[in-house]
Amino acid sequence: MSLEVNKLTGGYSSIPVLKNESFDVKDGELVSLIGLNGAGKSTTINHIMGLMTPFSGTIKVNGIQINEDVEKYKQEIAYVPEMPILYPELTLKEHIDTTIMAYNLNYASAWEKAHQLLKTFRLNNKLDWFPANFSKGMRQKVMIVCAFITNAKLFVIDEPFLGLDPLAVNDLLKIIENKKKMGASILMSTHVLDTAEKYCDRFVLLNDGKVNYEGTMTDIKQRYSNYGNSLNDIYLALARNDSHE
Amino acid sequence: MNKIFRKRLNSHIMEMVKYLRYVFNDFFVIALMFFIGALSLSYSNLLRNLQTNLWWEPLLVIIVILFSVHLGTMVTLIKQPDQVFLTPKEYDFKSYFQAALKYSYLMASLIQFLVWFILLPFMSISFGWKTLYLVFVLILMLLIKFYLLEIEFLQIRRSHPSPLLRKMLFNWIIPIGILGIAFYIGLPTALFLTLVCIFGVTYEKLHQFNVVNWQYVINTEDKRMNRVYRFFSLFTDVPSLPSKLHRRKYLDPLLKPLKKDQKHLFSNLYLRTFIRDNDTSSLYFRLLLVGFVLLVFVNNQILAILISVLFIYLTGIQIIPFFNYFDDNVLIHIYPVNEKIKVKNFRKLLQLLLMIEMLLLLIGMLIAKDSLQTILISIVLWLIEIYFLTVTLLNKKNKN
Repeated sequence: MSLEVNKLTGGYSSIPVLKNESFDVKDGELVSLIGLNGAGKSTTINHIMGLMTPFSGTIKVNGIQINEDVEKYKQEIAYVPEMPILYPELTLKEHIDTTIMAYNLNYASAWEKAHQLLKTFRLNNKLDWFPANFSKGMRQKVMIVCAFITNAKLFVIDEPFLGLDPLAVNDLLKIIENKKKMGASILMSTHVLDTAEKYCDRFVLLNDGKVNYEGTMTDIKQRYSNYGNSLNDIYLALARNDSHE
Repeated sequence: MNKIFRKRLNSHIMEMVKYLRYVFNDFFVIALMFFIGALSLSYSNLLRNLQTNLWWEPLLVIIVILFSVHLGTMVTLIKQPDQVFLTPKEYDFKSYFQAALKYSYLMASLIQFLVWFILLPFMSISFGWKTLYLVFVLILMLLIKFYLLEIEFLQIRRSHPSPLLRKMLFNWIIPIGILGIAFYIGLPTALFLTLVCIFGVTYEKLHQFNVVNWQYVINTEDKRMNRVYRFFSLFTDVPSLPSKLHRRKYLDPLLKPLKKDQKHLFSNLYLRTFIRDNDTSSLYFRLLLVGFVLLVFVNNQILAILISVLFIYLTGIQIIPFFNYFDDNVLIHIYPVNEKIKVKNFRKLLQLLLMIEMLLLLIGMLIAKDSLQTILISIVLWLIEIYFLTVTLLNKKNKN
């Protein structure tokens, strides 16, 4: 099991944003967190990344909890944030070097992967540039390259589809597919539902910090058959119902 | 649009007044009074011995005025979000920039007046001029300043910045020519020529294409505010505007010997940032330079020891906050790297920087021919100090 979130309650200061949240991501699975703005997607991710401490409940990545072995726990996760975070004073090449250093990767083989990814994302001729000055999509690509050269077991990707060009979205999906075959799992959050519907193995529908429903597309269609036939329709109907309550 | 400028100007002035209160604290005012007193004393001594019609006198006046008219630049108070929020009103911006010009000119004029006032006795002695001619000089300065400001304001609606040659011509060569005519040929001619230049610029302004070059306006204003803040930062904390980065590729060989593994992750980050970002490094080098120069010129042995100890302490204290430089970056918290590595790496860097400073101060002491005793005592004190800064203080900082 790559990720197990068990009865997680957490949030900022003393007001819980997440209430008793439980879900998991199995090995080789791509799971999507879906929810409206403010539903708790990013807060969930922040907890998984170890940036926030839960009030109660546990999070296990590859069977390890963060308080058991911080370094080992973090070694297992790679993260692509929604807003690219870069070092303004480092070049693209140095960003990759930094990732290699931080995750203690093999220099040669990591760079081999990096070159491949950079070529895919058409960044291979910009190694000596400051990526902080790139456009949003290009900065996001840098974050993706840095994350996917690691040997993490779990990849957490916050809204990968906005800002990337269609070619890059397609390439990213291929890269994810590859990682899945190698046994890694991916948890992502997104608003682009039709892409998610096509590629994700399972969905976690979040609402107001609670897991509304968790299952495959077939499960969802069966359960909410009267709401429509696509994830988009079903989700819109669900969200509208909730806001009317 | 006029209202917007007035509102901005009000808050700008409030902000400046707030900072000026910190600048004119008691210590600084006393120091300033001594400074001005000493300067005016030596100036009056100079004037007493001054003779009329020496060859260098008009030259000196020309140089002083030339630099004076370049003081006081364009103030637009344009902010970054304006290019999104105010572009729909772009056609209305004429009155905004008109108001900005008025304000900029007022401020610059005050500077011109001050410089003119200081030059007054010098000019009246060296040229033997009467009141009318001296007033003409003031008018000339004000006109040239107006001409230069108009040129700056022309840039607002120019899609490409002027080439360097053109800038040189309009900003330096023409003023030099006018000033040369003023002090070697005749003031009225110079006044007339300046008026012609102003008409020329105004003509061009009227026939300008009406599109604001936002990038240019925002960049210039940001740069100006940065200068203002940098000055205030000597006295108090100021909002930090993003400072400019320099790639400094020629320094890459310096980084070569640094190992690239997990144990040196933060050494790499800190050192690269130190080299490329001016905030910390310029502070360090300024302290280094001032300390060195002071030690070279101080002959009193006890004073030399005190100064050297003080400068090592100041440098350490000023660089230690750099330890937290990356704290806002989420990546740092996500890396599977032990916190201890960060402290270790930073300590190494701090030690290195302080050792370099030690070496330089030592050279300063040798140049000043300080006694062996002084140098030995200093070295012992420095080492104790470095231990205190890099171990005791840094550990304390890390715990907080």
